[in-house]
Amino acid sequence: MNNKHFGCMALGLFIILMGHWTNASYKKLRLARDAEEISRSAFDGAVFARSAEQRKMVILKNNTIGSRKYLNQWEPYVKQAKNPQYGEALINFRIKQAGIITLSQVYETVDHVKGGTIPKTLNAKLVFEDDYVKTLNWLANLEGSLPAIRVSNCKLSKGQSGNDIKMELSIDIPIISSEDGNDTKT
Amino acid sequence: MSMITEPFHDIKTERQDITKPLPRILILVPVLFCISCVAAIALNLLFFFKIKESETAKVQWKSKIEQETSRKSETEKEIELIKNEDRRAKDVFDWVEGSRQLQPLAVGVARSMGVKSSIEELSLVRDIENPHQIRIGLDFVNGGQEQLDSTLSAINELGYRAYSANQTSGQGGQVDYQATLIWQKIINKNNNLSLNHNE
Repeated sequence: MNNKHFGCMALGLFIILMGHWTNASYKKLRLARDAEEISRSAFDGAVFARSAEQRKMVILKNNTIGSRKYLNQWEPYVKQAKNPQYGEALINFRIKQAGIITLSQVYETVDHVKGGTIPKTLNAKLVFEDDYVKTLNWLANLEGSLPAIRVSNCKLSKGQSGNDIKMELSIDIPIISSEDGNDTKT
Repeated sequence: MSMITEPFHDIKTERQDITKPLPRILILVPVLFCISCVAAIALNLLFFFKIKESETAKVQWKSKIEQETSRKSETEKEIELIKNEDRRAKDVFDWVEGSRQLQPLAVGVARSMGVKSSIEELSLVRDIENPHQIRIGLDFVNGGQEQLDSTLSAINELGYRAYSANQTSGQGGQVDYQATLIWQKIINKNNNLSLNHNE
């Protein structure tokens, strides 16, 4: 082996090293391209999942359009009484407005369905004795102006005199406070 | 005079090679080396830029994936809201269906009474479990079966049908009638929901 051989070998070695370097770079490129391809596939998957979810939402929206419309119609009425005091004031206001003779009135807050849309109700037990027409008109006005109230018990009997009737009512008023957090609309 | 062709200054004598020359084929080694240098630099530069390009594209795809994921989660939230609204609508529907006005029923019964008949007591009580069912208790005098038929017909006209009826007749033309009234015009929950006080 002489220095010419060594020179030749050194060049050959350099050629091999450059080949390795190029090969390593190519491998890096392939890895980068694979990673890009994986990201692209993941993006396709994400687009598919998002589209599926949006389709589901559109179908759900179409299927529930009636019930949501119904809710929009009724919710203002159901939410008329924000708290028991407000409900009580509403009934008292109606009674005073009509000037109907009230024999007794008892209010009580009752748990309705825990975790439900209507968690509590205000139960009002009212006894009136007044003119037949006046009393029944008052009831009609009450049910008309507060359509979400539920008259759970209505007992009518003859009054003390003439055209009077005695009306015993048990009324349930839904209580939905704003803290119940069901105000979100789609 | 003859010319001296040999340069005068070249006093160095011809020398024999110290080492043997390499085979001629190995002339390719430096040529290959040069080509390799150029090719390696060019290819590595090309790969470098391609790698950068791929990395940029990967970052862009990832950002797009994040956007899609966030849009998907927004859609999921919206679906939850819709489901929640639907559930609330059903709860409200159940409440409203069990809150139909009783006044028209009371007035209907009262108006159905003939001239001779009179109501002693009328009670309308909602069932606690099924509030759309109303237990009616009607106590009236005079008129008998004819009056009762007329009252039941008035009740039917209001959209209620009487079930589990129980009727007793007492002295002095007193009739005590009890039944469960069920609303007949129950409409499909999801199609034609309407305000009951507008009907």
